Amino acid sequence: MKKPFAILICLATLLSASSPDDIQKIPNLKLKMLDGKKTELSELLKEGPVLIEFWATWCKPCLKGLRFMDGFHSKYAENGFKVLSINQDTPKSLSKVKSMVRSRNFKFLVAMDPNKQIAEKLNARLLPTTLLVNQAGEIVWRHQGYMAGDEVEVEHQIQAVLNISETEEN
Amino acid sequence: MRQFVAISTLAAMLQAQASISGNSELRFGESGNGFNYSETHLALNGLWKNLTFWGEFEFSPEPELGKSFNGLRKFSLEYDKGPILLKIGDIYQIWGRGLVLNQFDDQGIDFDNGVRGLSFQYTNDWVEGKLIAGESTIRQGSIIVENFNDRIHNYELDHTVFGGDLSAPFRNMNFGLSYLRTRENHLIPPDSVQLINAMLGSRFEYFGNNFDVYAEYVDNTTTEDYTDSTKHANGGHGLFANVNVFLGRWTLSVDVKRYQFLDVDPNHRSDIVNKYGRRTAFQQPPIGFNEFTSTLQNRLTHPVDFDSEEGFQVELSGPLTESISLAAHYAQASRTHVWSQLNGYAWTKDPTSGIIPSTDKASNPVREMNVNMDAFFLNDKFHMNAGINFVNDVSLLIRNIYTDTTHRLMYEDVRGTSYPLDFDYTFDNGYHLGISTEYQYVTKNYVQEETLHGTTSLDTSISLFYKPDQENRFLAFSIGRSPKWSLTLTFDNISAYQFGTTIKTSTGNELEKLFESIASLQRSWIALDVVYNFTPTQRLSVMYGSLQGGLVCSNGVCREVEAFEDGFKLTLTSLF
Repeated sequence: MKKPFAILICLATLLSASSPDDIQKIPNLKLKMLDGKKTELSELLKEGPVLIEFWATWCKPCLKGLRFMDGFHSKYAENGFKVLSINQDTPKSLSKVKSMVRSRNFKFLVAMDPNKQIAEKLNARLLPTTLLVNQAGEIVWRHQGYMAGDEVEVEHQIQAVLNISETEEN
Repeated sequence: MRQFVAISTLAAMLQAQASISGNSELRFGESGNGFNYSETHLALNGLWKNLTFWGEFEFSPEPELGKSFNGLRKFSLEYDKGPILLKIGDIYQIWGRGLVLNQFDDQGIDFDNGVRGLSFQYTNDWVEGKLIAGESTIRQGSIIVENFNDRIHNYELDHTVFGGDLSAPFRNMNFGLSYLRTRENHLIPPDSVQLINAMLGSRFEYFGNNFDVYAEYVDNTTTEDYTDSTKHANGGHGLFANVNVFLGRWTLSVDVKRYQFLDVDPNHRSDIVNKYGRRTAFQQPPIGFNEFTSTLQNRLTHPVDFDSEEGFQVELSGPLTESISLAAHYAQASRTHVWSQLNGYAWTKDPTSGIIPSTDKASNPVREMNVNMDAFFLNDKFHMNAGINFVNDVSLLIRNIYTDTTHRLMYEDVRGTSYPLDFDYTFDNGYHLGISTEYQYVTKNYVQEETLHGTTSLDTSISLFYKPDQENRFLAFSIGRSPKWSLTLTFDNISAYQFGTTIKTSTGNELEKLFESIASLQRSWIALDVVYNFTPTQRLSVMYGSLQGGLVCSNGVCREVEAFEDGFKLTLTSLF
């Protein structure tokens, strides 16, 4: 009974996930930033779409991907676009976050989620997990993990949410 | 099952008005050495006006680690409006850097110190106050009690928890005060003792343009509670401080720690049953060491003794160029006291103790040095990461006897040097190639030193490996095409086993036989891992082969995980 039930759950989730039109509203997250200040996601969305990236200093693929995310944050800033990276380092390695962000000259926003409460709300089970949120607060694209080259698809999605065509961008 | 149906029905009814999302994970493994598991997790999130519901179901007839469970494993209902946040269910909070409270649920090491109860939070521009109350069961493994098992914890402690945290930001500063009290039913089979643990903490934080400062202190008291009286059982304290100095884009980071919650002699350090009054499981402070990302370095992780350890770590990190960043790190620690046995009798600790870690072998000193370079070249298509790491850990003190004429010292000494090196290249058509290599040289000895009238009379070392040393090699080749698939072949080899460890029994699967001519299959673990993304939100990972077991640490909590031989693992994750 249990095995078929488990299979059923997975099939159900696979099928439900395959619907591209299923747009979800993101909760208004209360964010504690790396510099100690507080803000809310709704404040960030006022200027434009936000790409949310979950990461940690010990996550190798996250660090590779963040370099590209930082590039997108700067490249599309004039369109009101922002990258909000949500760091999941626990107190064990929390003191290394700021030095890593500075040494790599990351310009994106960094919020802290050491006990994974934001990750839980946004179903970020794997690191890294990427979510693209449009200005209306709807999650329009999600992605799990990072493979070298994934940044190409990420940029396509950012351009789509900003209504920028590739030719226009070039 | 009924819970699942009820929640699903409720979710379906609400779906028209509420936003429902979730994720699932199916994990299945079957190996030649009996390390089999099957578990399914399904988490649901519901958002309706100011209410958020979260629930995680688990169906695990045979989980990878921990006890079998079928049903609603975790849940919470949250009401969030303006300055008020009220939560009922499974509560996980971190106050400061975790010297008083740091809760997490990590199934990878089967550790969970969450509280089932309620929490209340009030936040405005001037103050943030939190209250927490509930019950918690902490599961641990102990060889002192019956049925010790690598996969299922055999010792449970029940706590009733109540506490509060207050923090007040002022300009670039933040002040915090915390108090946590737990009533613990401490089992000492076949009996138990009732303990009251009280933790009072304070903290200060400063955020500046040129430097940051963080300091936190906690004072612990444990009292035995009897029906008609109480008895002071133990008192201790913990201190953690961090300073980051910013020199342009370079950062000098210094951490200092001193945890002295309970001094336990070297023979009883792992006795969590009879030696009570330690720091509680809710206290998970910073470890003060590096957290490595490479496989072999992780196997030499120093298991922190949060009851008695002091030390510091210094890290200098910054960019060499726009594409190359460098981090150099040094950490040193020891127990808070030197332990000795006068005339061969009971252990006694040296009453003197400072904030600087001792290098005396009888205080279990540990030193670690690490340099790491991360670089991107060729228009960010080529990525490289290289490092070097040294560690020297006196992991066990066996004897330290002083008489009028002699001194006999015996300890376990671990030394290791690791060289991790990774490359990967991404082609324009989306394909990528990657190579990860790591070489490690380890010695692990029982060292015996004796002096007679101040002159060395004995200085010997006995290797804990079947050879004088151990050479470890790890190699991984990967190829893939973004965003769909990747294939990784891992080769993990040791030159010698340690006495007392489980020797690989299998003679090699079909994959391993391909490598028979280059390495002993009995000391090699070879695996092939395929990841396939059906969509950006559906990921399938299939592994075939063998994986070496060993020490796995997370948040300073470590446990031995057994090897996985000649089998396959399947993981399917999905977001919806």
